[in-house]
Amino acid sequence: MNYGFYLSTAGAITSMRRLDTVANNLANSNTVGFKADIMSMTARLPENLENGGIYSDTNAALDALGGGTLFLPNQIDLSQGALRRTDNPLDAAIEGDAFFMLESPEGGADRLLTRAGAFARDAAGRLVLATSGTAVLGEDGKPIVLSDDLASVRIDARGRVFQGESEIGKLALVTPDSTANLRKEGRDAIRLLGGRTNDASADASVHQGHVEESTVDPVAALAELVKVSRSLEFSTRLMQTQDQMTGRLIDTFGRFS
Amino acid sequence: MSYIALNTAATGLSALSTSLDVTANNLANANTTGFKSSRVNFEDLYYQELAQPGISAGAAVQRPTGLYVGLGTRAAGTQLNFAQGATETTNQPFDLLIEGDGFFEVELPDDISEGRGYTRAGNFTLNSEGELVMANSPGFRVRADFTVPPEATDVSVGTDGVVSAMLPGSVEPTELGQLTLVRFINPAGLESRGSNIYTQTEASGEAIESNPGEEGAGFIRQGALEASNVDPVTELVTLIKTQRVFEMNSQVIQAANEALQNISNIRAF
Repeated sequence: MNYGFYLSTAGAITSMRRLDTVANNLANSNTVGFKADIMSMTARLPENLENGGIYSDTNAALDALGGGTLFLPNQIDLSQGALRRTDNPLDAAIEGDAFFMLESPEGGADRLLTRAGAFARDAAGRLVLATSGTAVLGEDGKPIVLSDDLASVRIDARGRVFQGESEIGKLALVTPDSTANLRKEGRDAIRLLGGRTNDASADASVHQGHVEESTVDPVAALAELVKVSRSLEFSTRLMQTQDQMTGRLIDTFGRFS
Repeated sequence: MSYIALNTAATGLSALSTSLDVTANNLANANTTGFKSSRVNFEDLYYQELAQPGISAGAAVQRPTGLYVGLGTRAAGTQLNFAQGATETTNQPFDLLIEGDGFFEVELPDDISEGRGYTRAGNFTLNSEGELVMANSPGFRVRADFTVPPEATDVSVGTDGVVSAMLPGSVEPTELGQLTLVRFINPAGLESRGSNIYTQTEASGEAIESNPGEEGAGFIRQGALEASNVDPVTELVTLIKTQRVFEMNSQVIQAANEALQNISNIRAF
């Protein structure tokens, strides 16, 4: 059939995926510690070559066309978000290359990481994410338990947690061995698939009383939105044109009298 | 499908309208004694795995291990900010300020949270029986082991919560009783009940009773009130941000709508 029709369809499908991603980025412009998704597309090889075939003269015209476009997995934009001052003693923002670690609900081997430093204290006194209530882990791999004493909590730049004069724990600050293994899980968690974590370098610092804003850039997101809308329009318009061409073909040659 | 984008943007709008409601309530209570501001915490929703059709084949194309598209955001909850509000000196004998983390306990009707409520609004007054009550409309009684006799003058409340007064026929002040405070391991988990009242929840933990000045419950200061801790600048910045992000999410809805319209028009006659 009309090869171009499928190329345009691939374009339309890709545009819709892009739209979904832009929508998610923009919906999370207010989510503390949110890291925007970066989209990438790649040109597809013609079907013949993709299936391991060889370039042949009979297919030359089609093979030269390429195979349309393909939406690659989203990358996570790990750039630093702006720090916003909240003066809440249980808020901590990371500046630099590091993540907080979360307790894995099912206790699996995968590590859960987050940059969402809006913490709270639960009824058991544990330091937890204010959103999902997941416990934040200390360096020893156990949740940090704040004592009964309501004296003000202090978190220093290295992530050490003090209550009054005594140090009661140190927040785990880690970096993943490979950012390619990171997969967003929702509920502010990023799962590190099968990877290992290393201790973060001393350059990464924790700022108490601050939260890290979402890294979504509204200007870029809206520009992307315009581009995506138009690109989808082009693709669908081309699909229409090709459909009409096919229709004309049938009308012209398929008529029996 | 663009349906995802449509729904994703809708989750944004709904979470943002919650944020707008909370900001509105914070600003409306910028003058409420002992009011504690709230903030909305957003979290991202689940990520859906999508696989684009036709990618499994293709030796030359790197096959994506997975394609995840997020499904939006959610207002996961509100968090009370218990930072100390500014001190307003009033010189009224029954205006009490807590300098620290404690709460006064007040007696609610028995069907509400077992009759136990907590407040930081220390604008108290006496009722006709000489009991200490909240000066706002319901006038809940403050839990205390004393009443103030009508003939008492110069009622004073010490920083440690000891209440004393001058009684006729005595040159020394007479001790009337002791005000206690309670505190919570997780005050942010308290439930706001209106009328400046909080009640205990599973998240806040049990109320821990202590005397003022002990175990972080804070000292009592007579003749002063705690102003609302709402910071108008922060709230207005939040308001502006909320409004703009709301607009951007509406744009996504429009774009998704146009996308669907384009798709539905592919098959033209």
